[in-house]
Amino acid sequence: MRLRFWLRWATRDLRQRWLQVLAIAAILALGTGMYAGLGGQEAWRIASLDASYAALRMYDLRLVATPGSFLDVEGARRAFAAVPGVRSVEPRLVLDTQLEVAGREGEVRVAARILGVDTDARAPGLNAVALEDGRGLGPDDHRHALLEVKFARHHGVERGARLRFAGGLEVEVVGTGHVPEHFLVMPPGSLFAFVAGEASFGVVTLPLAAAQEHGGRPGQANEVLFEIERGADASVVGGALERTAAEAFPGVAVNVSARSDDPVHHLLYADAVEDQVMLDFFAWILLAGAAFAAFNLAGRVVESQRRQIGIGMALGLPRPWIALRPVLMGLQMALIGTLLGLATGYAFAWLLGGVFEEMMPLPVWSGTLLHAPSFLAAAGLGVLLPVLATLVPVWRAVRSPPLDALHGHLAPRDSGLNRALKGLRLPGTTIAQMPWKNVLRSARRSGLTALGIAVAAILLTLFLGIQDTLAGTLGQVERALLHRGEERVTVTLGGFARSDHPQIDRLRALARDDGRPLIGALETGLLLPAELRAVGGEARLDVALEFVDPASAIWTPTVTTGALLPPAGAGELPGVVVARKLAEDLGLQVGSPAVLMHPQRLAPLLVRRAETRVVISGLHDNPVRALADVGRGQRPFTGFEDTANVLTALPAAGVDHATLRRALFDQPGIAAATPVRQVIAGLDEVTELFDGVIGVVRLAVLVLAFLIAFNATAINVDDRGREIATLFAFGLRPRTVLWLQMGENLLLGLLGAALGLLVGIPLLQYFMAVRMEDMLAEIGLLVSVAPATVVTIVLLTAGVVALTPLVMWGRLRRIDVPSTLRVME
Amino acid sequence: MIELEDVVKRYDMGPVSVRALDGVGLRVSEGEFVVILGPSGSGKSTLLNVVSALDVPSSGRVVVGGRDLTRCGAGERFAFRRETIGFVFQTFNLFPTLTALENVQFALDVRRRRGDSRAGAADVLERVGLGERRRHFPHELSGGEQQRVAIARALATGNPLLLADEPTGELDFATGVQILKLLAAHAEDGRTVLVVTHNREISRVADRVVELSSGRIVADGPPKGGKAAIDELHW
Repeated sequence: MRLRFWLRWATRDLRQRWLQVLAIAAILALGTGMYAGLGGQEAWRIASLDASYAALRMYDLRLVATPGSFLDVEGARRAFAAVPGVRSVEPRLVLDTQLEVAGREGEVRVAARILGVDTDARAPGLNAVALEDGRGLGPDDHRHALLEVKFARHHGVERGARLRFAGGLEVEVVGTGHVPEHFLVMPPGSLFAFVAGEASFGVVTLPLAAAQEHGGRPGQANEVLFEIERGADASVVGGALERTAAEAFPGVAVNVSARSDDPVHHLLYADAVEDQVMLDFFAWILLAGAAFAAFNLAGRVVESQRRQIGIGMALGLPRPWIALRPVLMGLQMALIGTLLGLATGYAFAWLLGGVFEEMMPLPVWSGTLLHAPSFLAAAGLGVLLPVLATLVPVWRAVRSPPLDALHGHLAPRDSGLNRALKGLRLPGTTIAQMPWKNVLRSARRSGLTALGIAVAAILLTLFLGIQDTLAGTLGQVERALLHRGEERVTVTLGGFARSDHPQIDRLRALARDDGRPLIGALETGLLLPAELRAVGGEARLDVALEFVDPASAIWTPTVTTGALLPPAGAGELPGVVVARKLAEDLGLQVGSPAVLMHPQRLAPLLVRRAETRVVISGLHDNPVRALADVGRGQRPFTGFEDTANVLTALPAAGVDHATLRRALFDQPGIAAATPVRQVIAGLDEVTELFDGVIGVVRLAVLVLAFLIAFNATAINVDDRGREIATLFAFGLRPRTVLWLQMGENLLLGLLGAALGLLVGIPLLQYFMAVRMEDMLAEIGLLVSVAPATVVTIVLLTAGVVALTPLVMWGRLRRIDVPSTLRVME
Repeated sequence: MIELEDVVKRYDMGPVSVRALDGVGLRVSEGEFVVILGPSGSGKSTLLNVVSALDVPSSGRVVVGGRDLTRCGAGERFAFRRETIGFVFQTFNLFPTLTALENVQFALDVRRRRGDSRAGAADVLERVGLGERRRHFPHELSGGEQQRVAIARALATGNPLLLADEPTGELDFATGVQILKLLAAHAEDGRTVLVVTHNREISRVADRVVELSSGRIVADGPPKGGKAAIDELHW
């Protein structure tokens, strides 16, 4: 038989079933398109990061003098330029201070970092600022500045605005832009690495001379940036730089690190890889669900043509020719699905790319999120599946006797589970029972449809479960920090000071204009960066070691297990209270010995790195892994007895944070004054990226559920045309038949939602414990799905599925009852 | 019971217009057993569709049970079928997920008859001789049994008009005779029965035979040779 004849017939088939073919193709498109869109995230972000860092000539090596130490700028240029392998040398002065500026919603007072850079035209221009607005700094600039763009956008600070730093320096903003070390703004001393602080930390680039003037360090720098020759070994050059520094600047301890050691640089690249792990997980589930649904539905469409297959067999048509029509239909689905998939992939990549660009702005975005290899792989699957889906029922058909096919006996011969439940008296009339009985009539079909819907519910459980988990975990962080002293302000000093320093007393005595005190309570504190490991263990984890007064009137940590002080029998070992997550990650428990690596002061200006044996004396209730507490009476092992570098201040009654911060702003020796509530507010940013991604994917998931339900309903209407016509013949109104179909869909939707939750919740726990472990290592996640979320999942899934028959309303009303009641062709 | 006045039903298929009914006039009284006879394409099924309000005539007037169907909206036509018609189809059209008893019970539930619909259905099923098969699904019944269930379903509605479209078309002779006996008994109970068939032999048991050809009534009267007993039939 001529191929053209079959193609013409296939075209008529398509015209008759175009909506079903299109819907199945759309399911395939959704799965393949999203798989392609999600699959390219890592490559796209890494390419964009590479391009961004290259465009701004981020340093290859960075030399940092220990806090409080400085280098002569000219001396540094001469000494380091001679080191083999060094191509460019750029000293700079980095100062932590406070910043005041008029923002969109009033005065803004935050911690800030000044980057004093060489603006001479001959300067190498390492770590350049990528301008978003305004102009760069030139040799004639002095009291002019570039403001980091995310901070500027957040607070509505524009070109021409005036910045004032603690200590009196005022500068004019001439431009805003991206700073390579602050593509992600991480305030120093922030609770955890993944909390961005673009609103609470301003990074300002100044001409070097202006920074030196502000810091009282004329001619000096405390950091040097290097570009090395192509092909040079960074570690070898780094070692040479350290030796040169020791020779040229004796008495100044330095640390040389590579670009990859920069925490933001490391985090952004690691995030791209770890985010891809998460997205691949979701993409596979979505693709599997779409593939499963398409396979099931395509097969059912062919089964509905069983009578025609029987006619072909009865007429002696060779089996390959019998298979050709369904295969052609499968190819139609495949072709349309692939084309729609490309469009879906582009649309999804555009949406998701927008989310990433909004949340993590970079100066250069390279290429597109749409991942060609992923798309080709998924498209291949999308082509193969419908063809297989149509071949399987045809294969079954041609192997059965022609008469069975003619009489439609390819469908299940019996009434399904209804037979087993014959004795069961369901409530209501026979009409009211029809949805139940229709679900039970073909357990396999109903089960497969429910499984397809369950995939949507699984994905919703995962996404919403992640949101709940993050919200619950961050809520616990909030409770841990705010259970007492909610209004406290952490005042970070510019360095170490004696606890009885007169400046601290002056702060205590700060008063308002009317003479009333501004500060209700003030306590000194010590916060040291440290690392902890198990005895004999290799793994080390960063901790922010806070020395806490157990009798503090303002705030103390809640110790859930053990105590702040070491247990009896621990001997002289200092006790450390850690987060449960840290203890688990290091294999420690209360009473376990551990090794603490920490700064130890040997003399007023001599600080070294020391290791001290400690004992884990307790666990606190804050999920943040890095937080660790030691009773302040145990300070002697650090050498920082009677020393403070932070203060905890409680505003006096009637004093708000803005007033207190304004008063603290011009006080010497203060680097930052941060209300604890501001830290809590920063936690919201953690969920924003997830919310953005989840918002895009959630829509796709609901569309998938709708398409599956729509197809199932459409096939049901086709399959049961005669039954529906009989109902009409007996006087049942179309809207009653619609209600029956909606009832049946609701049952399938509820079944799918239940299956989805049953599988989704354990999957969420696995995902958070295993897959997200690296991505959110710094926090002990409290995996949970809120009851309201369960209800939402059930309502969304079952609701969408139940409402789908409304789309068939017109088709129901247009059923030609007389023709349908007679023998069907 | 049934009044058709100059009923025309036209199907326009592009440039071609087919008159399935061409000016049909007909009156059927209550309690009559009427056979609509004619070859394939004569318009007999169209006539049935118009009488049952499954289709609307292109022109003319159709009054059934005192209700002018040509002036009824869609909702009224559904109500009319619920309250006036009992259907028996050539291909039975039973609901596969309902047992024999439940298929009959369905008719009572549609009519929202007071009382125990299950007991009422059981009673009707007994009358058609299928009391012992009440818990069987349609696929577990023979063709004749399925058609008897269909008749029971139509009878259970208690509606005054029973319409049967080729009720014996799928059945063998002996089974067909059983079916005819049930239909005839229903007419004897005072209900109006309209049977559409191409089988002239069946028309011999009717009170009246209306013969259609090319959409027109070509004969209307008692069967030729007089009304026969069902047991005399042979095809």
